[in-house]
Amino acid sequence: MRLRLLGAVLAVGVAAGAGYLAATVPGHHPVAEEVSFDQQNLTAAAEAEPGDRVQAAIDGVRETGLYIGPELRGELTDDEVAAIERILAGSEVPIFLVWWGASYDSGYNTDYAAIDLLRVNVGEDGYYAVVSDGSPPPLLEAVGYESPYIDADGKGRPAAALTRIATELAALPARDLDDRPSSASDYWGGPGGGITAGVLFGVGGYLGLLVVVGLLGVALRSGRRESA
Amino acid sequence: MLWTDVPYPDTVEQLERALREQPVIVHETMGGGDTAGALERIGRLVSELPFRAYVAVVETPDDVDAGIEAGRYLATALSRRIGEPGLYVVDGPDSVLGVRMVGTGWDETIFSLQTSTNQEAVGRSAGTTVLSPTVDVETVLETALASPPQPSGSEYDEVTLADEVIEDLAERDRSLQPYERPGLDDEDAPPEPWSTGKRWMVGTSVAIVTLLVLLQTLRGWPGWPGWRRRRPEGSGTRSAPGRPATSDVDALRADATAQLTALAETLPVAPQGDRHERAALAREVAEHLLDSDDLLDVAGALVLARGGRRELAIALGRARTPYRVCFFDPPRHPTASQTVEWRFGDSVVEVPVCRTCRRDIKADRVPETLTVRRVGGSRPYYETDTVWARTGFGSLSTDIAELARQVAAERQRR
Repeated sequence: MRLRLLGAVLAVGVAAGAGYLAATVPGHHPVAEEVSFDQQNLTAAAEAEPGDRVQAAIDGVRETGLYIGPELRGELTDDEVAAIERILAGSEVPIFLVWWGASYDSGYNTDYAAIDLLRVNVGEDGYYAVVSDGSPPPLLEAVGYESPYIDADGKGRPAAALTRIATELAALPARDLDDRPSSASDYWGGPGGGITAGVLFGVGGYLGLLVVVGLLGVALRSGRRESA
Repeated sequence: MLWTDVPYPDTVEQLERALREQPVIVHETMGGGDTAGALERIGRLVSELPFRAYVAVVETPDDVDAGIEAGRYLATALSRRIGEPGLYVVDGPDSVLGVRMVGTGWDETIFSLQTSTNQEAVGRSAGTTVLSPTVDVETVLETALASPPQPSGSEYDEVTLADEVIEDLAERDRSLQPYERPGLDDEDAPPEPWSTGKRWMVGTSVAIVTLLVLLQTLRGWPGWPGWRRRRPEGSGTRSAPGRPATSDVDALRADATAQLTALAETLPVAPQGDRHERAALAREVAEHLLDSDDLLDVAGALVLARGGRRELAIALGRARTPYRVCFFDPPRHPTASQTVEWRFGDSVVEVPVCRTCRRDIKADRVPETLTVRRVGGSRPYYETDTVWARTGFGSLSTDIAELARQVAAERQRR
């Protein structure tokens, strides 16, 4: 009985030591510098040449904040264009708004690719919006600020739809980009979550091992009995 | 004409008028990011052709509802509306390239097939099966320039474009590939940080598994020898485990006395010989055990008396096999007729058992076992430091005489 108790105490000690070692080894892998998905996109876009269509949009939004694709010119009156440009100019956060027809053969394959090229080549902090005619809702991104969200869905008559988008973007507060590394959040939920997960994994692993070893033992014994 | 001044016709009629004014129209939405370059290259090729050509790489006008056949529909419609001999080429988004060759000396079918042959050659060189719209149109025009008009029945499966032309077109197709936002790739994702929670998770997992494995090893693994070495609490025996009642000892003593009496009565009538000597030895040793307060000694007396009687029965021709006890409860269980493997310390031995015990073991149950009370609680007799544990009441000895000699030697040492 005493031996059994001693064995149990020793097992607890060995297990605690093994757990401590496993938990305190200095990193199971090198910690890579965290780069956000958005930053990866901008880095990739910076290495690409914007085609003529995106370059025209870059030049257009730099000038007035609003660029309209050549296929849509004439859809808005000069007054409507001027009104939208005034809304954009009054925004606390710079707004760069592109309105054009959807295209897959003009130097970019989607509006996501286009807005990345636009952001990285305009190079100014602000809200960026690409509105493809006939393909609402607007695609919104930002540089230097939190990505914006608005209710305007780009549906309706072009002038009214663009005015709503511009108005809602201009009314957004300037929310600075939270660029703290996301590693501040712990996937395992800190010590409590880690212990809970560890108990579950440990017991699960032990039960699995129990089944495997038991089946192996039975198989070996029955095999030996048959050969005898 | 500046490429930024290209018209965006809403109807087929407007497109017809625009082409009459400028026979090459390329929309920015179809220009691959180099609309001006496409206009210049296509315009140069058109000017070199020996017949007129009208080229429209454009958004489909609103009044055309032909799906992926919009290009072919427009090429036909424009050739009829304009009504002049020549080459009509129309490409648009989401539609296949439309080509009409009218009144030029080319057989239209041969030209179409020859164009396909050349397009495939350019595609192979560019590593794609779908060429950019403007490169596709350039290939059509280069085909018209590469050879004189071919009548019906001509060969069309030979590539007619020069190698440098194919390479130039292929290179341009590669350069006009649209920019794509890189996708999310799990392999590119940084490894999960070695956070506090993860450390606790790993440490706890390792500790739990280590502890359970060690404790299980101390107890024995199911399915392996030694698993049944310890009796689980609550498993039944005829007498309560570790608590042999006084009446049990007395019952055994009465049984042993009766067996010894029968043995003594049979000894004089049995023939002399080895078996007679073994029976006499068993009787002598058993009589000394009969008055013991130890349950095991009394049980041993009973086993010796039975063993002696069996020897005499064999000598008298009434039995054939010697008395063989069941390892687990020698005085109570029927004689052993089977063997099973059993862990004894660090080694595994075969022990004789009765049918019931063998069935229990095969069913992974703990057999009923003779237990005795010792310091620290009750335990199976074979875990005690006695001659009965070492001999298994004769189950581990060669014969009853050997058991009797070992018991006698043990008594002398006390």
